[in-house]
Amino acid sequence: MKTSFTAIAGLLLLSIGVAAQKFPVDTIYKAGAIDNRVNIVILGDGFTEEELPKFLNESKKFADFFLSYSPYNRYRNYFNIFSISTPSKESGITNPGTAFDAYPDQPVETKETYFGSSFGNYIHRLVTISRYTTLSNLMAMNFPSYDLIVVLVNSPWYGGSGGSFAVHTLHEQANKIGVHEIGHTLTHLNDEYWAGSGYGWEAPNMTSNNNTATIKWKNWLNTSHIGVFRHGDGDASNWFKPTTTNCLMEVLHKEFCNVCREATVERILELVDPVEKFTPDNEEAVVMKENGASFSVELLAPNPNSLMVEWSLGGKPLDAKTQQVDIPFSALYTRITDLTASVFDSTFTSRQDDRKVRRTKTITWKLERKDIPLNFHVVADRDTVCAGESTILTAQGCLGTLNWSTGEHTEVIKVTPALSADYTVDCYERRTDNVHPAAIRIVVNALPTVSASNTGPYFKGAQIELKAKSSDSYDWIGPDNFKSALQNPVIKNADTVNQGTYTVTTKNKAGCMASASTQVFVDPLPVVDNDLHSSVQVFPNPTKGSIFVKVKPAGSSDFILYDVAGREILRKTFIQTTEISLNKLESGIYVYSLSNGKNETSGKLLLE
Amino acid sequence: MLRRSTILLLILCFQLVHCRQARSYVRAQELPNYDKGVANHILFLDFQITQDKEKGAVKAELINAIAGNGKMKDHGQGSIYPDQIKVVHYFSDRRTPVEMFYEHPLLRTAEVFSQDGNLSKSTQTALKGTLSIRFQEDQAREKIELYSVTPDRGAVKIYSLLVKK
Ligand SMILES: [Zn+2]
Repeated sequence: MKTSFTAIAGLLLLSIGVAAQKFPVDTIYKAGAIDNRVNIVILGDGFTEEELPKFLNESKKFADFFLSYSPYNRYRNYFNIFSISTPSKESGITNPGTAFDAYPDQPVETKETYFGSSFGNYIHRLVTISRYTTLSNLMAMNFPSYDLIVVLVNSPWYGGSGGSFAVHTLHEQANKIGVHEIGHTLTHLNDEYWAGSGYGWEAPNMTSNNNTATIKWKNWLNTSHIGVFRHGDGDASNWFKPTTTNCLMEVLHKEFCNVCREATVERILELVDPVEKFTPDNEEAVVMKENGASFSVELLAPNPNSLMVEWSLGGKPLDAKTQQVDIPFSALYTRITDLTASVFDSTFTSRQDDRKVRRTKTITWKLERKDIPLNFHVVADRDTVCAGESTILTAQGCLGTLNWSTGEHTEVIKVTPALSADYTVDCYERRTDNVHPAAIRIVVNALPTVSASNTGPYFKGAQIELKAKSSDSYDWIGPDNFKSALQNPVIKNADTVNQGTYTVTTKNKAGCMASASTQVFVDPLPVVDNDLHSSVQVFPNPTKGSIFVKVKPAGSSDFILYDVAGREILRKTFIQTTEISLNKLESGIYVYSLSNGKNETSGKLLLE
Repeated sequence: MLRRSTILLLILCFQLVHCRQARSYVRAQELPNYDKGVANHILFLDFQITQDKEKGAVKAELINAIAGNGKMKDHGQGSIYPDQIKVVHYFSDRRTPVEMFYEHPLLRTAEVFSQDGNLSKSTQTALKGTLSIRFQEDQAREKIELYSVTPDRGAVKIYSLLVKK
């Protein structure tokens, strides 16, 4: 009964908890579309209706501070900043006055405010909100797509906190708290002060690797205070940071270090695409007219502008580095030619090794010359394969949508036919409503049948005989650098070094290969001790269940049975004659050794 | 709409003698502020996380759910302190479940900023806290599970929420 009740109570709360309403969302800076900018929303607590202009003014002050902070200042137009005005019943926020470090001149008071902010009970300057549900409702109704939240608290006294969003007062030092917190929430930077056991983890500005050749920030070593700094003793000694007392992530009165700046810029460029728009559209081929055509990319330039544009036509680079190129009709020689614009932000704030590969955006247009016949066809990387292998098929010259017989629609597909097969592809041109078919046959050659065996197990000094099934060529490899191209190679005078796995790879006339392996066992026992061998009988051999052992010399004899892997299976001590039951053993080949005094002999035993 | 269905459920529950099988669920389209006229929605859920005593069993309860319009960017996941709430999203279309990690509301860490510019971390233990999560609506999402993750107890499931169509 209890569970159901909590569920219902929860649902009831859902319906009555929606006291949130629409509030004015004020634009402080709008640089572009919400989905291609980082959107910061500034909220206020402890501002009464009459004080909302003050809140707007404070929001603008924080926005200006943030956008002039390096490296955000270079990417100002990559951010939108908004504020939402939520009036509180009372001005200011609660001060419990209970903390040991409470400011003696600050009045102790309780205030009814929108987010229920308060100075700390135990640590005074720790200012936090308490109405999380109110915050969720406000954001859902007014700005669900936010990226970052900063809460400005209407108090002149120093204080603030971080977590999933930043909270800080209007004290002039407090705006750095917001910037530090955005370092955590936006860029996932770690603190560069040692925050305690449990706070060590891999982050752009923290690592357990102190090898200067491979450390994350290796490209910044020995520039403006960047090095490899151990966090401290104990747990802290396992973690390293890029600088010491020289970064906002460690102390508030410093700016971000170069490593944190790099991570910040990389993060901004992950969220915001520097290519805002391009023309013409590239969903369909661009039909070229006699007087050529213009192509352009609209870029979101940082300041200073570090964007680089490169153009190429038919795979050959063009001289143009501008946002627009004019392609003359005469530059095209085939029915379809690809035109590509590559955009890369070469900002020196990042030195990451793979930045160019990772961050280059390319836009490709297909340029069509109608006066050249269409040559739609399929090519294969390899049109003959062995069973189990793959090949790549590419449909070339299509100006519409592709429909492969495999159900795929991409230009390039990978196929792994089991048997020889025909692959067909239709090119559908929406513009003309024509369907052009193309096809290719992929021949699949069977693999050779292969098997490997040997006549062992063997004793030291015996001859190892390896056997493979008949094929067109053989390539044996095995222990002790064994190599042979024979079908059935032989190793004379076997020793323990010859024990192990032998693999034969056979190749048929079509060039297809297959492999098989066999295990060879070489027992270290001597093959024969003539003195004893002639006076020992082990029978029947092969046996179906039990054996008799007879030894001519008097005195005690030891019989030991091994499996082919050399593991001792059983042992019996007897005088002259005994019967040994093998009923519990699995059928197969075994090896026995028999000793009497100083004499020893051994032999194979087959259990059927 | 929601209020009527809630009351209906309540009446239904009182009428039945055995209603302990009632399970918690949300239906996105019935959430407050859900705008059927737009294509993309973001869902906001608030859970109250409680503990009757220190080291006691952690419990969760859905206390608020609301929808908003639009799309969210993928903000990735930074590392967090070992005490966490793990939220697992299950989908009906063979996608592997997606795990998201949040700061444990009963063990919040707040950064303390001293006026001399020095920083430190303060761990605030509590018996009651709020976990707020936000995610893009996805037609294939069918269940959300909450786990309390602590180094000494590992991951303990504390809530299961069905997401109905
Ligand atoms: Zn740093």
